[in-house]
Amino acid sequence: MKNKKTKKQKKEELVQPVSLKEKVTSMLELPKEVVMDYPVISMVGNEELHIENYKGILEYDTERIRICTTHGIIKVEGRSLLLKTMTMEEILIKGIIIKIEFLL
Amino acid sequence: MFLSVWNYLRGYVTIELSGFSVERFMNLASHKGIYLWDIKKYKSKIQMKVSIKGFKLLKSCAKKTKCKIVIVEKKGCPFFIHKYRKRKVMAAGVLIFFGLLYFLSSFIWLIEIKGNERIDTEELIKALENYGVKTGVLKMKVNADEVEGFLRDSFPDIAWTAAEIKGTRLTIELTETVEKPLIVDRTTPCNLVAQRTGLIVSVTTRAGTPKVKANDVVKKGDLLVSGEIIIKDDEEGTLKKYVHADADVLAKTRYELSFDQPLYYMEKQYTNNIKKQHAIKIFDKELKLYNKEIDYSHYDKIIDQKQLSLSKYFVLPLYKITYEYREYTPVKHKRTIEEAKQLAEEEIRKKLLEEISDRGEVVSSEIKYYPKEDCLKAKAVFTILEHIEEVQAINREEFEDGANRKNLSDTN
Repeated sequence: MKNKKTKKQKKEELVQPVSLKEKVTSMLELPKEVVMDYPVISMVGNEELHIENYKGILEYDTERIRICTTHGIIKVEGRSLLLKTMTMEEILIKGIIIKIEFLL
Repeated sequence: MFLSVWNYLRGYVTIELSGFSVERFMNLASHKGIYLWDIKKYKSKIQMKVSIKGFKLLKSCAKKTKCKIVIVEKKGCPFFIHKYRKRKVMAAGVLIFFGLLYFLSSFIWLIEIKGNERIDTEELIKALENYGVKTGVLKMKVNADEVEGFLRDSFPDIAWTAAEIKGTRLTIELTETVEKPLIVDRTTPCNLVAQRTGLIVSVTTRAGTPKVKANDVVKKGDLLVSGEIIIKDDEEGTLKKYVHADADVLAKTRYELSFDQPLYYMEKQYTNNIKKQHAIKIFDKELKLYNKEIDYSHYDKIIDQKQLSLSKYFVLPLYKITYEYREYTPVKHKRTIEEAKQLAEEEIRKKLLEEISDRGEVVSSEIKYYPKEDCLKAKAVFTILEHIEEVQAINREEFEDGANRKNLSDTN
């Protein structure tokens, strides 16, 4: 029985392999947003949302914004949303933010 | 705040986008490095702001994504300049303004002197003017180091100076030397003579031969103590020595003072009627802003002059002058004899103090009053006990004569 369980665990590990890159970064405590290209999300109250390392916007409306990142899609819901600035690396959303959702 | 000013200077366009794939357009634009800001949905269309440079690059994006771009608003400096490009007079005006600003800022319009206590400011300014440093002189012609050197050379009382030109203001800071104590040169032979006519009270001689004694009456200029000392006087000749005479000679002197105290005096009774007149002074020319007639028969004129400046360091050759005229009616008052006497005595004592300062002390005083029609005449006689000795150098010839004789007698 014991042997069987370990085999199953091994199987699971094979299904979701942890990449070498991730291992090294977690071992050396390197910032993930730099090495892994993760998005950095910061908020000021519920009025400003700042996202760095994004790929592009998928949808823009005053009530809903969907942003594509390397970590999946970020869905922001709120009222009277507008994109204050938009450059290659960062995006600044202003308005009343109600919900942030990660669609993996 | 800062960013919006920068954007205004660079100029930006507000555009309206319509089409199916607006998001794709924005992604494309931002990947090209075009900075987009203030993106918002406005009646099913999307409005955004983009710089002029970015706008030119947007056209290809619009073609790819089949979006329609409509310019809503153009804002900023480049558009402003473009709009007024044909107004040559205005451009000339702007140029002249900056030119004038530059031109005026190349002169010195204010000279400030700090730190002088004994030396008169006016004297310093006059000296500087003669040297060539005055208001309205070119900054280029003024060398701060040379000005410092000039001031130090021409005023021996200045120990240290620092001249600095800041904007249109020349600031001169200086420190005065410590006042030299009066050093009496005890090597030159001299006599003591009477400074005033008086009655000698006491003579205390420290050096020299006294020629007067107590209760002698001396006139001004009389010899009191001689610097000549006769050491030996016999058949061989006289042996003389010349010294710096030093003595305290106290004498009673007489001071006669008179003063006319008028019995009537005027008092200004202000009527609260005030007229103000403004004027502007450019260099030395005065320009009255509007003429007002001053129809007061008696008035005080108060002048208030202010120099205008753009900033602390940019002072302009412009002055704002305010004249204030205050009307008054003169009212004649009469003093009683007692009041007049009191005032006259005060006045006379003040005069006496000016003359004797703190050299002597009052022994006795007598004031007599003679009332006249419109004034009170006061005559005072003071007896003062004071030092009357005054140093007077011995005539050189006489001294040398004596010295030769002394040498002769020495050789003998």
